[in-house]
Amino acid sequence: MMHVETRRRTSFAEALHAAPASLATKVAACFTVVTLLALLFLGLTFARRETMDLRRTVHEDLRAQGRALAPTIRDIWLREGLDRARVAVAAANGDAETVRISLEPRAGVTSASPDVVRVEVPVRTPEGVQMLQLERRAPGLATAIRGELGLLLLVGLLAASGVVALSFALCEWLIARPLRRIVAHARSIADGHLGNRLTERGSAEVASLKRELNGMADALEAAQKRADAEAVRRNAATEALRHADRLKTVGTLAAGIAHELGTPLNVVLILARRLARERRGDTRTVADTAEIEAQVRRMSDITRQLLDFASRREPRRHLIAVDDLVVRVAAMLEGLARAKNCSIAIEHADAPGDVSADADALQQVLTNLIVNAFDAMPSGGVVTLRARSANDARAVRIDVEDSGHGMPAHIVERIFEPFFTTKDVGRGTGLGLCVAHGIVADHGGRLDVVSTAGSGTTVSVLLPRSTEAVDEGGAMSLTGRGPSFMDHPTAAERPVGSIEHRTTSHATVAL
Amino acid sequence: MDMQAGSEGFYASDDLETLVRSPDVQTRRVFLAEDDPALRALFVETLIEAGFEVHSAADGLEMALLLSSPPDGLMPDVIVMDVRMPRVSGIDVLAELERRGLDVPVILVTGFGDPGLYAKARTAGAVVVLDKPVEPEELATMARLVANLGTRRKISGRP
Repeated sequence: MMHVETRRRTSFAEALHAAPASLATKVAACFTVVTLLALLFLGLTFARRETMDLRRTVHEDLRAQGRALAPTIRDIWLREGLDRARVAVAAANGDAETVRISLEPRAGVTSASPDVVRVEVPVRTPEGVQMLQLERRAPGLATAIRGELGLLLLVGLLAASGVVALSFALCEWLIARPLRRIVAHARSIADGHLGNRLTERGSAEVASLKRELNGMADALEAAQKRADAEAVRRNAATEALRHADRLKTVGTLAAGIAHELGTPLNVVLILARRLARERRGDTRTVADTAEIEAQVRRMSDITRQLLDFASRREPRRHLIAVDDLVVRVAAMLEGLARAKNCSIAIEHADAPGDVSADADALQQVLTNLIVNAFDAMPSGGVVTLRARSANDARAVRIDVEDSGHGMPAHIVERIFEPFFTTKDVGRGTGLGLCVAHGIVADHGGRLDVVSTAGSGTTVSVLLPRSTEAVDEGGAMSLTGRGPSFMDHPTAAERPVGSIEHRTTSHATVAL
Repeated sequence: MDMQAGSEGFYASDDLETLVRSPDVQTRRVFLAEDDPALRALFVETLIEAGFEVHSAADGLEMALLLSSPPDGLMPDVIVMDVRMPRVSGIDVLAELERRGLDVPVILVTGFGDPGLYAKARTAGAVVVLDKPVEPEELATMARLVANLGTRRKISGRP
């Protein structure tokens, strides 16, 4: 039994929930009930008063009539007897239809209907007492109401419809309209338009709802922005990881190939030598074998670079003065610069200070960058080396700047990929920048590239500044990978080929 | 004469030419270990042309056996070995030489251009490390030079 009831209640609640009446309907229903109750009360009160007044008047009339009639009846009774008196009373009835008069032996012999007013006047004689009874129809309350029922219903109906219309209009104006606007706004927020705000006007409740909604939109927008920034950062990190992973895979593969190639190359080289010696007189063979040797040497150069690339060792760090390093590399490459019709200029801005780094490795980085700079200026030019403090005080920056042909964005994006080269076949392996990048990453630094097609490229090596002395044994005082400033920049800071940098392309690679 | 960076330290010596060129009365003996048969044959040929008596092994284990019982009971003047070989590597053989207290200079030939390996080879006692591909003349010259020096102690400790 219990559970049946429960179920029914649930289903009722469900039904309510399934079809919730609009606020206007509820308000209209409430108002209508109240109005009808008020009408009923008023109607009843009026009807009661009217009825009472009428009956009282009738009552008084009848009493006066009775009193006037009573002496006459008494006289007849005394003179001619009771029976004649009854006849006289009955005769009095004959012409007065509205009033019914009778003479009864005592009071209340017949019961009166509620719609009748009855007055009894005693007629006393020495023979006894008879009651002179006067009755006249006067509707009682119930009858009066029954008579007015049609009118009452009509008035009630009119009042109810008026109230319903009024309450619908009021609800529409005061509640439904602003709520609809708020609902539309909430829907637009749900659709992702977080920038819109409601003007906080309207009644106190609506305004406070709007305020809350705006506050929620503010919070959502802030959260959205945070999430977006986070996603961008995560994407960049994932991309960097994928890039690093790709480099590592290629590196391992390259090392394997390079190592396995050493032996067969050696066989080819020695056989070519032998052939050249045995056919010393045959110029054709001598030329061919020389070419074979040249090609073997080229292959072995490639494998050497592959191995450089693959066998990145943990840097053996010492304290290095960046200024000295730059001067040393410049001196070392002076001959090559002359051969390429170029020169190297060193600009001193400030004292960049020391880095804790592997001198050989950094030398290789700068060499690779400078040789690239030479190659970017086929008709000669100046390569400018600039060592200085980076914007971030914790970093040292070495710029290698050329005034060469520059690179468009789609090339800048790829320059750190292994085997990516724009040089002629046989001129570059596409590993120089990749190796440089790897070394700099090993030092916890990064390479920035700014290239403007047509007017030159600047590659910047950013390295964490050494803050503590490093003993000559090479023990590292800078532990772990790069400090926070070397973190991979977000996409916002790295506009690779964005609109803003239509002609100038940036690339940053760090691990 | 074409030499690679790995051997440039030897140019410091004034009497280098004398060391390399002077015809030696006695035939020098070399033990060679190289796992690749084609290259081994060519190395053997090169060293024989350079005037060496050559005994070859296919890997480090064979080299160790060769050293345990050298032909005619004579130890070699120089050992030429590949680094990466099946079973026993060149580095392992170096350690074995050290363990037995044998004072034979060693030339390591390697396909690994890894700086870490250079350090490791030198620590283990190699006199010279040559990168593949090795020019035959370079191998001959180095072998003669090292053999004439007689002992690895004399020239080990290149910076």
